[in-house]
Amino acid sequence: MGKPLEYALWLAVPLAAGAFLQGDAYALSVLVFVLIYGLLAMATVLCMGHAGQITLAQAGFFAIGAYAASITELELGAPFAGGLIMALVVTGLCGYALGYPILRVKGHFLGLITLAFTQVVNEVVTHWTSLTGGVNGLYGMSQPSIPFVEFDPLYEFAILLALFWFTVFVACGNLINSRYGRAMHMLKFSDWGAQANGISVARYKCEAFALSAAICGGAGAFYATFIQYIGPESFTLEVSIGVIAMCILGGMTDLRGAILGAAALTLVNEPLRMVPELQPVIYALVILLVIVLLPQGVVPTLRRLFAERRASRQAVEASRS
Amino acid sequence: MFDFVLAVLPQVIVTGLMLGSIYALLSLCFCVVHAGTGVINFAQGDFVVIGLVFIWLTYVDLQLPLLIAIPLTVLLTGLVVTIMERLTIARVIDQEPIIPLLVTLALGILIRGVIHLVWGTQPRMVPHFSGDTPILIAGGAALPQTFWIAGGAVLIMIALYFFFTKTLFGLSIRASATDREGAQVIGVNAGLISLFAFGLSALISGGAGALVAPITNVDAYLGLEFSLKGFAGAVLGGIDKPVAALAGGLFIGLLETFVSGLISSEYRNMVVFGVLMIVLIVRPNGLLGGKG
Repeated sequence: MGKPLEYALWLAVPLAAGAFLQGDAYALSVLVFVLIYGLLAMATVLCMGHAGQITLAQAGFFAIGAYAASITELELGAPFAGGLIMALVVTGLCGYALGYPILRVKGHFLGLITLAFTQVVNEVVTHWTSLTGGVNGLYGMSQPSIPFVEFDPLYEFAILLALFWFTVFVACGNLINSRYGRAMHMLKFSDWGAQANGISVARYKCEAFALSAAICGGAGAFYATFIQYIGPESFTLEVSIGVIAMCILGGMTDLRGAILGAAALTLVNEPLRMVPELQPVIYALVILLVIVLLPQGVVPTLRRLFAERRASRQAVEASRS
Repeated sequence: MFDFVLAVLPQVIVTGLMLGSIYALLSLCFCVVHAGTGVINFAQGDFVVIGLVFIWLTYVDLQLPLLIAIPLTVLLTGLVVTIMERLTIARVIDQEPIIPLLVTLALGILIRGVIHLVWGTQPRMVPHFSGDTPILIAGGAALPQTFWIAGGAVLIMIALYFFFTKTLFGLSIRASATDREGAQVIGVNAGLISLFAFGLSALISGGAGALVAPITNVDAYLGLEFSLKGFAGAVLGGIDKPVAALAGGLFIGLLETFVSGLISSEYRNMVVFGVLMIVLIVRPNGLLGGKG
């Protein structure tokens, strides 16, 4: 399959699904969540799977993006595009700012410092009442719509989101396969090795954090305008944990796998919101099962199985001839 | 301002030391598990909550005397945790470190979810072990439970000291902490150490849970905060050194009470996590830890 064709397919699936589901508000909202979590999962793959920097800061950046977009829209009266750009810029800068001081930290301590970051963001959002509305949150953002066309407004939102999602997907795919991306990948294996090859470890680490943060921020901007209400309870550590579980399910090193993982876990989780008492229990059980049974991820595991089968078949044929 | 500070200082110190001794026990648990397995266990606070649940069941619901209720709580917590360890953590222990960390985080969600499901959201009260008339010491008022907590913490620490210096299991955990592969080479069973480290941390957590229950009441959502504070203490002191971790836990307790007493309780978590982030960045091995 050619590359343009494959990309076209990835764009066509959410657009077609949205068109098919028009009129069904619940199904469309599930689709929107699949795309939003897909964005968060791609950000995680970029930072963790590709650059090897463990992070639990997704929920923090998601929150910063959501609040940045909402405040821009509510206080400055800017349109959604303004809010989105503001979210991307602010979270990108925050990501860069977080990346710089934590250069010295590695492994699970990196995970924990990013965890502390998420927790600090949550505390700030809860207590900085004059800016964020505190526990009451912010509401009254308006959903963006596409001019000149008349679709179901939810579908119009889904189209915009799918376009952003697709842009991120293509951009990440290109980044990973570029010279720049390969340099970033080197950080995963050895700082010294990267350094010896003339790769600036500090620069690439910070930029990995900044890029991944900006993607989370963009997701946050879409989330805020979709739900039209944001409060601190939407951005807890559970979001980061869930997103990493999605990536582990799909395969931490594979963009497509992460997107599929996000879709799978979202489809499990969204119906569970109907039973709020059971939701955390079942969700946690699913996450545990995924991690314990398939720590390498579904897509890489399948790929390895196929590779092994092909190798054994080739070995059989070689022995026959 | 200065007069005000002086006036509340004794109270802040008394409360801070009480809270600090709980956090110190938790920091010690982080230390034990990290030493034995290299895992940072973020379900630690939820183990304490399991202890809270069992003390309520035994002391309040079944009306057992304290002398039976507390040991029973400790043992039951240990049992539940070791079962969970065998089913989940033991299976991923040799994956890269983020995987066990995530498993413990998910276990935390699971424990909170199950307790919430079985018990509902209403926190349960546990009566104070010996009344709730405050005792005045050095210008501060302390609940009698404070002495239970501080005394219990000291007892647990003494027991741990003997465990770590006199018993084979304690010594092998310490050997694993120094050099995990080296310890395995000389015949330390890694799987058993993992079970044992988690079991021990659960026993400590169960004890801590039993002691703090009257102060905190039984609330499923205390777990994550306990974990974060205990971990902050362990990292602040140095996660490789039990005594340093203890000191770190005490410091976090004092810091938190100082911030809530002198500034505002709204800022206590922000300050604690801010300090944690700064320490992790500036001295990843802890303020009292060695150079790594």
